[in-house]
Amino acid sequence: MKKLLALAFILIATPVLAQSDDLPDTVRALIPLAEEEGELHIYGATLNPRQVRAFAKSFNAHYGTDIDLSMSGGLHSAKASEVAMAHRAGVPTGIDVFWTGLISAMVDTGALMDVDWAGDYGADPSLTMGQWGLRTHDGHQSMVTVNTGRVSAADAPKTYYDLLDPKWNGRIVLPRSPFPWIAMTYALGEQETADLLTGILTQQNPKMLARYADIRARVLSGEFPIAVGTDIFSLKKRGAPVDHPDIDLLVLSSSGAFVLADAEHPAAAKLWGLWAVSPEGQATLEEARGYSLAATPGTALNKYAEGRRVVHVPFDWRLENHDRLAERFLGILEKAGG
Amino acid sequence: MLRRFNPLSLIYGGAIIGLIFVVVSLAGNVVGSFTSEARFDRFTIDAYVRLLSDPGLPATMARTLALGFGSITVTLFFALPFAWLLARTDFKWKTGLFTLLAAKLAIPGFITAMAYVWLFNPSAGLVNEVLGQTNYTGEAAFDVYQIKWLCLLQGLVLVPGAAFMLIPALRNLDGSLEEAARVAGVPAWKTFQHIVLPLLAPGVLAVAVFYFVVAVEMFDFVAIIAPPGDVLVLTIYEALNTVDGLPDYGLAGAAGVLLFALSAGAILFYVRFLRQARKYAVLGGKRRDPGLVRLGKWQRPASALVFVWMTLSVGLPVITLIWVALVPFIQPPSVAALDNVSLFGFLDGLAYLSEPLKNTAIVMAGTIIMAMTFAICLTWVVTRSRSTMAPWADALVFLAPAVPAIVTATAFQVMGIAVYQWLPLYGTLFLIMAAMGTRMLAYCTRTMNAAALQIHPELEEAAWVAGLSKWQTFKGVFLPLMAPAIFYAALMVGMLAARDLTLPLIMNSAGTPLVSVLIFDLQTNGETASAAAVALYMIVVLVLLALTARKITGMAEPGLEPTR
Repeated sequence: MKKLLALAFILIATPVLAQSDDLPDTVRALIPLAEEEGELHIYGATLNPRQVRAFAKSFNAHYGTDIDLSMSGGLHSAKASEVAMAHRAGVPTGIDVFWTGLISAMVDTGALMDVDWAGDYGADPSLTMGQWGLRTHDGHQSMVTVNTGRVSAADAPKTYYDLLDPKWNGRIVLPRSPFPWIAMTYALGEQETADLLTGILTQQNPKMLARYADIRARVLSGEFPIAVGTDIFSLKKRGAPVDHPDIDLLVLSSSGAFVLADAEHPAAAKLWGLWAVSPEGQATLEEARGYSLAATPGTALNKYAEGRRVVHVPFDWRLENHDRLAERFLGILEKAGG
Repeated sequence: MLRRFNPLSLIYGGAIIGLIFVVVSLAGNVVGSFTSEARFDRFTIDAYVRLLSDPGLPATMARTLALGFGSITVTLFFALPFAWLLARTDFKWKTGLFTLLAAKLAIPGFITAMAYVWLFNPSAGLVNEVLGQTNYTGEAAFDVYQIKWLCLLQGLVLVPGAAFMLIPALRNLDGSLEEAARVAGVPAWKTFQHIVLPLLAPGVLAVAVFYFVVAVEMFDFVAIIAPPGDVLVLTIYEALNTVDGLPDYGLAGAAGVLLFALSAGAILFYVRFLRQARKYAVLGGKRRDPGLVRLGKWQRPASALVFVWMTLSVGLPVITLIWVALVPFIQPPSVAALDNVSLFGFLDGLAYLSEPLKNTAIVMAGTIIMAMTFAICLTWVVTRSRSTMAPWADALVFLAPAVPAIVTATAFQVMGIAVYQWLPLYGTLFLIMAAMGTRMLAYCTRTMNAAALQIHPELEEAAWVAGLSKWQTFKGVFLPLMAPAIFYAALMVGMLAARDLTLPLIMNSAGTPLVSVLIFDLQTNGETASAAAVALYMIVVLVLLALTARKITGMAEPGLEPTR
């Protein structure tokens, strides 16, 4: 019911918003150009056809356009590397917007277009990601999830260090990835995070899985009552017996819209980024994947963030420290896994 | 003066193009192993140093070998009798067995793995809970997270392909040999052991070597079962799925080269074996149709074996799929969960299906055409030309499946980018079909070579003496005799092309929807009910296609030869 009401809100509200005059002139100037381009391809989150249609409908309603929007997803780091190679060889990729948090492969080869989202198009300066991207949602891959059928709210961890409690021995599932720990480093400190991870691996005998979808499946089924490294906002909305426990700290790393330097539809691509951070865009992202900026009022992430210490991992810090930290945490994970 | 066009050059041309595709895949892996920072213009041995200096490598290699040998043991245990039952006996459930084998090909691997995790995981597995023995209460009765379970599950999944690979070889056996044994009073089992099996040796060896290579490269089960300790394919996956930054093509490539090394010994043995090929040629001019072996009292044990495999391999995963399709999110079956049952997943899945199904049909058809064309040409060259290079070309094709799918995808993408200005294939379905066809070429040539080796050259020599050209002999003698092998190879290619996920996921820049990608998207998105429903629709469509193809190609008469 709530889902239907949210959809109804989007469908009713967007035409009104589309007619509003508060778009900056520079954004208005993009609209006829985008119309002429006629198409737009986004690579990023995996969505079903119904969700893609909802994105297209909201986007077109927002600007009063009729642009053919298509979306695809997959393995982001491999695709980013391929885009970098194609760009170096001058071969078009067919992608206009790379919607991701993983861009360093493309930065090195100049495959991303410089866009001054704040200066040229009036976007909130706090949302810009380097000279390329616009932050569309806050990633929360450091979050803890519990199966509510197996763990009561009182019993659930209250801090990350509670994961070291012996009662969780053999009860934790986590990704074979350093990603959650890289983000956590910014909030807890490097050595503290390394100690925490080492403690979980050596004392708690966790199950490590390669894919995030499998981690969600295991905590959903109750096989493992606790998972680290995945969010379940959209599953919870569907009534699944999972929740994020009342942990004192929320670590967020950003994902955003990056226009490719050789985008065939650059005007439509920029409009898409700006739509994604608009209220209509945020409502659509939230409805489809449970994605939103933590600051967007009323979203699941926004509600969860209330009253908690929220730490945003700066984009530049991630670019600067990623390789070194990935190597360190991978080393710790491999030692436990091998 | 113009030379007359020799149509045989078409066969050599087809074989060469097929080999070029294989070389793209292999070279992508080898060259990749010497790269640094995903640059294909800077070379280093750094990845080998890192890999070989890893103290855990010997254990990883040992586990990988155990996985390969364990999987093919299970596969052959079922596949060999199944192929024999289908091709040489009066087994009464032939259509049912064929349908089950085809259905199994269409079931996504992760579903089989997931079903077993639900049933046998040590913490909350249904079987353990029913027995009251989980690791919450003490020691679990069953623990699926072990390498032996991984071998069992991978072995079960590989049975259909192996059986389809063996059927043509069994159908080509000369029945007079078995008949002579029967007249001499040799029991049926001893005939099978001392006559049928030795004559099938090239086919069985090809299956064993091929599936060893496939088993050590499979990722679905390793990802979900995740037994303690690494295997090589996990090293490759992690190297290519970096958190951010560039994939570590160097490390993935070096690990891939180690997979080649593991496979190479077995392949060399096979190549040596091929040199004695003539002694396995049993399909000559005086060949008798083999006739059907009457199973008599063995009908029941044969049915029991099929039932065991069906339950383990098809029954549990399909029941799991149906259950997952009926509930809004993944959960073990329980009385409480029955309250959530609905048909929403089936309706939702149906609404998404038309466009991806159409595109998948195109990919299936294109891949079958490509793989069959190259495979027929390569088989003819390998088994009929007198070139000393032919066995080595065959060995090269054999190595192709050892290249991880994700590396093959990357290699074809790099090729697509490199030749784009002359041939704009990058980002098209054609390139996906070429990559799929290349990966499946080894399967096709294994199936066809085994059958071709059984065709005595005297048949073709007789045709030449009768005045037919080599090209006419190829068309009029070789191809018709190869029909069963071509059918089963095409069937397998079509099924695997429809199910393949890695190649479309990596290579489909334009986002053309395919059924396998749709299932992945829905699954990743948490819409497991719709994903399972789409998978079930896919199984039904593919099984119907397989049965129809079997009927219209004249392969529906089990145990009988097609018209020669």
